[in-house]
Amino acid sequence: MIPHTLESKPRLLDSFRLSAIISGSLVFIYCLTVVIGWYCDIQSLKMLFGFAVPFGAAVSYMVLACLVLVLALFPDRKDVRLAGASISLLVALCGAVKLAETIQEADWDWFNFPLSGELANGVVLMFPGQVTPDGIIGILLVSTSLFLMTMHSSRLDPIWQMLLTFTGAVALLPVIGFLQGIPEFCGLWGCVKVPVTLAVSTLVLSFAVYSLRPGSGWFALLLEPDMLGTALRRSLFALMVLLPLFTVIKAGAVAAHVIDENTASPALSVLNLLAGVSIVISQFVYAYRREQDLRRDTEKKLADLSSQVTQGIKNNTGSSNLVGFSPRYAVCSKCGKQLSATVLNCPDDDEPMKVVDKLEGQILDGKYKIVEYLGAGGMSTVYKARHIVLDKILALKLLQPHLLGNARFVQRFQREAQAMARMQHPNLLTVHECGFLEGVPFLLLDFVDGKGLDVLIQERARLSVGQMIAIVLQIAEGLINAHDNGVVHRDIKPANIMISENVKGRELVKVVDFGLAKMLEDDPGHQKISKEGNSAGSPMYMSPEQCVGDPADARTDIYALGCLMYECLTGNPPLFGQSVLETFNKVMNEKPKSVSTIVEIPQELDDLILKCLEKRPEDRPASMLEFRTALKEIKERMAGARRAANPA
Amino acid sequence: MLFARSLLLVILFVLTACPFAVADNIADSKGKVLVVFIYDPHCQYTCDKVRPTVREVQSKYAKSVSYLEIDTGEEHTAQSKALAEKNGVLWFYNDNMKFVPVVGFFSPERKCIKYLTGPKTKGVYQAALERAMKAK
Repeated sequence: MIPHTLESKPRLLDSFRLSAIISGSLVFIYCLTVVIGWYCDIQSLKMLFGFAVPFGAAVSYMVLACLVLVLALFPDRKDVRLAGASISLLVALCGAVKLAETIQEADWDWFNFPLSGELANGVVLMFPGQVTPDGIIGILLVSTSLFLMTMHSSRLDPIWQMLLTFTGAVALLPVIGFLQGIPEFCGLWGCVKVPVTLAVSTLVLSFAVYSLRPGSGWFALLLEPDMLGTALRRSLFALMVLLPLFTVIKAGAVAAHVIDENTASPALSVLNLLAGVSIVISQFVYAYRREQDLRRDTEKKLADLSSQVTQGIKNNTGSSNLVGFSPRYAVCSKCGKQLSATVLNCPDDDEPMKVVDKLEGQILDGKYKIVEYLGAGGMSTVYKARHIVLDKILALKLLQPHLLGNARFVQRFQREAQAMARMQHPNLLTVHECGFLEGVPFLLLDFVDGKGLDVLIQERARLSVGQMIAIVLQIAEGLINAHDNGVVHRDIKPANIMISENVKGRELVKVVDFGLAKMLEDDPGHQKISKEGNSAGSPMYMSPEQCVGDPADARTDIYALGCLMYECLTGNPPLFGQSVLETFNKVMNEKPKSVSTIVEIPQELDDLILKCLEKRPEDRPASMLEFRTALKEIKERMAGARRAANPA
Repeated sequence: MLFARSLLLVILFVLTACPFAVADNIADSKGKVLVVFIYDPHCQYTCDKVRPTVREVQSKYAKSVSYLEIDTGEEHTAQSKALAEKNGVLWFYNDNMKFVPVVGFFSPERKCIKYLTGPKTKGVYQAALERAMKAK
């Protein structure tokens, strides 16, 4: 089964790493065999599977495969990465020099290094020696890609991935030619009998290099849990399995004289193409249907939840393990006194209290093993949990037991599930399941292995303009999706922004906690909740319309995002007082100081932040899309100005 | 007697000439430096460009240098192998038949002094041949 959740990313990353190890090993073993063949002058090894590989190409590929193996085995070792970069650069230089030599029609003996003594036939094995053009191009492209990949720079990601894609396309040519029965390729540099094994080695090695950093560049799409990522993964897998199978069947049919290859070749080519296209289309259809099924399933569960809410409230005095007791408390290590988990020292003997959580290690509902306590808010407690059947790490959000009797909180919990179920976006959390767990409403969400933006701001005092824009653009992407689905978050603040660091080399920002989210459509039930809950929120990030209880819309989130940008750059929200009332008063009546009076930022960014903080919603950017576009333009202009200032 | 001698000569000629129906040139190569040009009939542009250059270089030292052309076309594999074997360069043919043009330069003892893959300039071929001639 293709994994569908973000939690499966680590597992997917491991799968890709394993693929890199297997691919690298295969190429290494093949090339090593050929090299042994050259040293021992054994024709069957030099031409393993009937295809010749020049000595220089075999050695280069062996070195590259070895590098891939080492990099896959020690992905976090910087010294290994540096060694890999240096060696792949050397191999790339060899390829470049050989290419120049071939173009010049020269023979640069000074660039050939003997790797053996004189063999019986008088030959001294040289590196790079005489390498065929296809080998030179393969060596040059793969080693350059590997070198750029080891740089771990997001700017270089598109370049090495483009190079590898080109390499794959070039290597596919001989393979397709062979499948079509073409005996040789001729060009300016001569004719080569279809070098299938070298081409397949190039393909496998390219895939291995990709697999070393699957979370970067456009290859990251493959890891996405959404429909596109699932469809791409499945399509690639199906193509990799089915097309060779199709070729074997075709070869069998030709061998059995069922079809004549010469006359049927064009038709078979078209059939091959159609099979490939059908595979891709079918995978996209499958992924779409799966997505729809998942959505329907979630909606059904939500409907069930609604009916259970009342029942749950009625029965919350029952015999449930969770209902009516707080599983987390502190115990005095000396006297054994049990108090609230927030108490640090025993009031009797001043000994430090030890926090105990009865849920940790327990298996709830036969499938969720509580791994550890993550945190708690006024409304819910969040645990890291493992789905023991699916072996996935998820976040289990449980409503605080003492709120079970309050229908308003249960409904708010339900609303969060409904809001999140509508959306599928990499910058938003995905809800996987909801319902009642031993009488307590729960949500099963993506587990984000990262830190809150509030923590980040606290650690760094303030963020740079570049960091802030990078984070806010991702938040805006997520909120555009939410708004498109008719959901306003209404509680955007640094603490509700999680920055994940589990994808190497890239920050993944996620908007969390849709507990105050509001559905925009004209649903009487939702209106009622909105009216009841409109004073909810975090005062320092609440918009003026929220403070006075006016309806919230997308521009409410834009206001909060303005506050968030302000805090990222200055370390403090734009308006705050000693009390909630004072803060409300300032939000309603005071104009915040512009950011540029506190830190140096581009004037247009300062203007955009102030525009987001306008008191009247109609004076703010009209939509999150408009805001995102404006911020992106600022980012591009800043990058342009930097380039102009430092042309080198 | 004369007839018998003539007949023997004709038979010998036919026997020796048959393999060279595949190769363009005959090589009485014993004790001489040998230049082997491996080509393919499909390789029209590059091989046809290399052939005259190699021939020209070889012709300068025709007395001490033999020249052999071997066709790698599939229809001539058996004959080409026989020709290469006869001249002591079968391994060279086997190693290089997958990419043409290849030009090998062999010492009189049939040690490969140099081989060049793909088209090269006349100077490169000349240098390789001179190196083969100097080799002991």
